[in-house]
Amino acid sequence: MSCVNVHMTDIPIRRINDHVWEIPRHGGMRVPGRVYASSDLLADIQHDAALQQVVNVAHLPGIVGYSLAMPDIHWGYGFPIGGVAAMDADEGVITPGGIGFDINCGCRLIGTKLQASEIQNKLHTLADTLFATIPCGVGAKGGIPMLSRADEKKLTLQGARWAVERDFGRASDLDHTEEQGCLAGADPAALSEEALNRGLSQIGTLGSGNHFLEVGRVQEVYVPDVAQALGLAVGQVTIIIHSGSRGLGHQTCDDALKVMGKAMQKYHISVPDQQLACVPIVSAEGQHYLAAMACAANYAWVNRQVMMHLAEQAFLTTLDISPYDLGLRLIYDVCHNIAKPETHAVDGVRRKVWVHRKGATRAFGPGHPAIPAVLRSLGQPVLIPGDMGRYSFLLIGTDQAMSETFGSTCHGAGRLMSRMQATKVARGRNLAKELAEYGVIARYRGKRTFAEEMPYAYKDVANVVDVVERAGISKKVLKLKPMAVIKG
Amino acid sequence: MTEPLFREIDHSADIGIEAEGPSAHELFRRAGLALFSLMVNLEQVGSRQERRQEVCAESWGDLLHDWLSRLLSDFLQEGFIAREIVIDEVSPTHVRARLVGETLDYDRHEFETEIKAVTYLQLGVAQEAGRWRARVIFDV
Repeated sequence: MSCVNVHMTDIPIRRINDHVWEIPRHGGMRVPGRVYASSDLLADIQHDAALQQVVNVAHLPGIVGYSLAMPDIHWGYGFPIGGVAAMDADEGVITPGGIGFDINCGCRLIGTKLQASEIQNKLHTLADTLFATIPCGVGAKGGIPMLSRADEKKLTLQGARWAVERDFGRASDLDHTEEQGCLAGADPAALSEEALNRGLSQIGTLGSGNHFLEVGRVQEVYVPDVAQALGLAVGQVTIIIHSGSRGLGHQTCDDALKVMGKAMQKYHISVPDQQLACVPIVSAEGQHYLAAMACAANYAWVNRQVMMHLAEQAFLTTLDISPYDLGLRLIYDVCHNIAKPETHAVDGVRRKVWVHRKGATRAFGPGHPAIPAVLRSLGQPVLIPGDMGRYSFLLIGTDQAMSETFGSTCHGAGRLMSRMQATKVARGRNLAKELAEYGVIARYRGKRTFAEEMPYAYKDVANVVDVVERAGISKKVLKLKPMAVIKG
Repeated sequence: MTEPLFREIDHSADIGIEAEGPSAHELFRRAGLALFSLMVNLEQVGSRQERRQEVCAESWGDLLHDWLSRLLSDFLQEGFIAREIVIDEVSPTHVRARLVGETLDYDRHEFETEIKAVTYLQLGVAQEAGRWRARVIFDV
């Protein structure tokens, strides 16, 4: 281990190797922090308060191992975005600040039988149809008719299976979804009236911000046998859907922060940031939140499942082909804002922990029983979307991720510019034309969203993915190139 | 010259604002209008509907959070945007207001972005030398 100390900000950090940095325990930290980054990425990370948030997370009761940060880490609320922390299941806390407002925000990669050349001259029509079929979700208009309250509760219990049973997709999709699209322990009685109200009309809606639907193609394959096992080859058309649990999830987080903010005193817990409000996992408030969180996670899987179905309809209508010829199938669906009960080795001892991943993705290595049988021997597929102009990557999890990062990796490119900076930079520029220079056509609802999400506002996801590959916590399988993007 | 409704502050992944005014009434009015103006171009919004809102909380900070959350929730569920807000009554634990505006119509209104939630990060309401100030960070 190198002992070179770097003090570029007031947070002490020392180099462990070319890809891993450590924040030594100081003050009230219960464990050290570990940051996965190249020295260039670290310099960007030090521009905002993200490392302070890594330190804040290390204060939480029951945290084990390290307060971890992935290379796409940036300043969030509570946890940094890109933060991972495991809490002892008996003595630890659960915090909505380690999960986020958008519970089970995540993305799914979908394969087709089409070649990019077959759709190139129909891309504009395809983008128009997708944009018209999948609403962004403000106001009363959902992607499918408004749910009854009974159906809404049922889907929060059943997850993606609810959608599949109503012909929004195929039963095989469940084998390609993390947790089979249903997180255990859901109880709709734990959801507030307001959360249920907000969820009624938002199934099949994309949302705004960094959410998107993208039509792309496989550009480059790095591990041919894994790509082949997943049924993907260069030139093949793919779809990525990035969205979450919409208003139902946001409200559930808000409700829990209120309850936990008050309950902390009772449990003699104090935290450096109100967004880190937390309670013991075993407490009544903790169990209540976990039941509600699972409902929101299940809602998000239904949402992405329904949007996949809507996208299929848009493809079939535009291209006038049969479902067989389109050959739409789910490659894998991952969540990157969630807490899960898992067993991991900590200092050589197997312990039950709740792993919080906020803007971080589960990346279990080959053979892990949590990976669906059809994919188990490969390792868990992990989709890392980049910005809307450049490229995205498909990775697989590794054994090293299991031993170092509680089976976790990055989740995206990470912002280079704040939303405010990106909006300023956009003034006077023709953004649609700039995106066209990347070979990408765009349809978007929010003018500001579009400016905030331009490629220049993000780090190059290739640099982020290089770090996780060199550090050994995941492995690059292939690269995807966007062709058309739909934004809310 | 009219005072700006709010000032935007830098936050990497989210949108932060600082609002201030000569009274708590004005602060809550401006913070509410700031929320709407981040999502929709308010110059294009008409005065077709009037709504009433009433929110209770335990402190100034919580009240501001809950007030903005209520306006946001109405917007996201029903598309209601206020172009003017009249605060009839405000105390550290209670706000009562009238909102004038209309329902979002993509054909007439330029949509900017969707705000997901009002966070507690750095949330605060302060009163100093006759000025009321607040800072709010919205999750986007």
